[in-house]
Amino acid sequence: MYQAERAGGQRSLPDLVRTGRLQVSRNVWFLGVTSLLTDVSSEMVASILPAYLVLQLGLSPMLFGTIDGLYQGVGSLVRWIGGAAADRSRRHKEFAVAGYALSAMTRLPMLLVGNAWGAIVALVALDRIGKGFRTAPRDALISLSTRRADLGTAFGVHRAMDAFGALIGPMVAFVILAASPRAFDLVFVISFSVALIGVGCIALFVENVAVTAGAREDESLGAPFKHPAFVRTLAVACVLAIATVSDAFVYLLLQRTANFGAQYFPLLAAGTAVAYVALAIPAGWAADRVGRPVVFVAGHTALLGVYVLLWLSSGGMNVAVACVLLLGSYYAMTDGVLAAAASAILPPQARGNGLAVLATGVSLSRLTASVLFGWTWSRYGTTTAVMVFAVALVFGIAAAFTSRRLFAPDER
Amino acid sequence: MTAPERRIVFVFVCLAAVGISAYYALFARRTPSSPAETTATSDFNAIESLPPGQRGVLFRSTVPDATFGKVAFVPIEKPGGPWSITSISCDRVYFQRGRGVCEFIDASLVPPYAMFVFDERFRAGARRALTGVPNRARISPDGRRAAITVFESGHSYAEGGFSTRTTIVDATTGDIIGDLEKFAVTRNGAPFKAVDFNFWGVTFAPDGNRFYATLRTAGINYLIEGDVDGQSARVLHTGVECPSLSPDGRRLAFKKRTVGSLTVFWKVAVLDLSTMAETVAEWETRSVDDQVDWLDDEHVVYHLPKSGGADIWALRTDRAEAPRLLITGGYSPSVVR
Repeated sequence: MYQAERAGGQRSLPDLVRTGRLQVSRNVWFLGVTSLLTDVSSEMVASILPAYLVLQLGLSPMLFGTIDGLYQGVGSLVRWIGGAAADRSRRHKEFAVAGYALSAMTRLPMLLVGNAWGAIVALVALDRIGKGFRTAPRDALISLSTRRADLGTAFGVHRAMDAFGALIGPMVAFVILAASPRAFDLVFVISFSVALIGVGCIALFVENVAVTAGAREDESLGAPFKHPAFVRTLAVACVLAIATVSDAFVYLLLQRTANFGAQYFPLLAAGTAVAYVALAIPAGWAADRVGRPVVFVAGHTALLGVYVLLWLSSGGMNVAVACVLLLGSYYAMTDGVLAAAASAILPPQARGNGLAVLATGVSLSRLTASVLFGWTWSRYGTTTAVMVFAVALVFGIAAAFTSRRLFAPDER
Repeated sequence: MTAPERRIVFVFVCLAAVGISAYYALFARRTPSSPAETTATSDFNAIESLPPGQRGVLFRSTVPDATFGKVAFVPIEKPGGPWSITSISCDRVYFQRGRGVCEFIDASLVPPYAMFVFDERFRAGARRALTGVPNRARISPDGRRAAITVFESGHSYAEGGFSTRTTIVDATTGDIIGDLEKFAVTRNGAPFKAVDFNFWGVTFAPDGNRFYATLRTAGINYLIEGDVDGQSARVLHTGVECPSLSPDGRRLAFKKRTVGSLTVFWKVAVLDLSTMAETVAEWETRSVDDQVDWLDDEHVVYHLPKSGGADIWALRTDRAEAPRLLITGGYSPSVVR
């Protein structure tokens, strides 16, 4: 039924712009710029925070890690509220702006609170809340601003820009500190400036997309669950996520098998990000053509490749490079593609809500996977842990591929 | 707003953002070299070596003048007197029996963290890269070995916060002797091992081989007693962070984590190793987040952060007595015995 309504909504999309061969609307480009700038801003702070806390303030960041988990939980809850409330008000843009602005506002007080540990914790919490709050409305805006046939490409463009920002943020901080040693304060101020331009970009150039009134049931908090195709996608995504070893563990395993110094550790994450940035758009574009669920599930075979390498190979630099490339491909084929796949299923009235539910489900499953992997590792050793996860992933992929309904044409 | 108006507003937002950063960088920053700050100069003289046999406290200066970041020394009798400034700069420093260890951050290096060992004339050995932010430094009482703890943090893709790495280093050459993560740990006689092991805060026994440290796993902090030569350790107690062995070798001073609402609070406490009885120094009401060092058999010293720097305080451990401000503007105290 909502098919017809979406067709109506599509006609009122803001002027679609053809840029080169990529059919991506103005909204998506500007949201991409905002995400890029915001990630530069937040990653430049994140990369110096340990040094700042320990050396400048004389604090131990040990507890920081513990509390981080709590914030992830709060972030998930706020994400759902943000998504559902934005859907109901039809003001996705304002909700996203509020989230970006909240995060930007936490930068400057970092300078003023000095070594008040509680205040620093509170500021980091506010930053996370802002991040949780804006994610679903923003993804809903991306999907509502895009023709159904181009959803994968649009999310690919956005995720590539987002990841590019996260990649260069630490480099910007490094350049500042190299030019002006110990200028942590300057990093915070410049981070604020960058975030401010990002907020300006979304506030001034991104427009809300008209969503026609739909069925009343699509506006309730549980609306996404009333769509069987969405529930199936959610289930498949969660099952695959439970068989996903977190990057942190993959890097740790690589470090042990490849046997290189811990100082090169950040290069693994940077390499993964480079591959992700490079492949996100092609993967999204391909997903629009061969089917988003197909690419999403296939992306997990890249992850399976990582497990097999970790399991069978004796290590070495080549294996590390191959793993990093596979991991980057996995992200490119899954993150934005999943959002695109779900957007194609969800009615416009429940877009933010549904995307928030999906993101929360996946992150909770990943958290469970981390706990399970850590436990298996310490109890039965590395090889067994990787083997168990590889077998689980094979079953997950096989189950997803044999679930015909997931790939039914009407759900593409 | 029309489209051209939006573009104009955006240009103004960009100009304002760039303006804020530029203004701050050029005019608003308080740098150690700005004239207004140099008036706060502490009384100091330069030294080329530590006076032989002189007991005192070695520390890092946080005073925003020419001494900033430098390692300084005050004699035990006159801790509030003029500072003797050395030629080296460190973020964490520790010195014992003619050997010192210096951990520092230098943003122009990749990675930006490094350490070196030095002698009583502050001649530095080879500089060695560290894998994370320097946090704790200790030298054994016989000057043979050093222990270094750093915080390692992953990229934001790798969620899960921070971990620590503690290495034992030859205090003469700076060579790594052992990584605590590779030590064989036992608990109640049985092997004890988990992926989430984190070690920090080593304190050495007089022989330079036996040591105490904190091991954290599954949310619990354990006190371990280790053996460098045997590359092993055993769990002794719980709830002890950053132990510091008293000069008589009978007690451990440590920071005791107190569960607060959202923030952490550490109290100074002393563990009697013969009875395993704990005494919490409730008379220090501020949170002490440092590995304390023994000034003598009754007092410990530690730094407390303050706006723009830190101070070094002395605290009596055996009876209630208000903490005493020992060195204004000092950080990372190391008692030279």
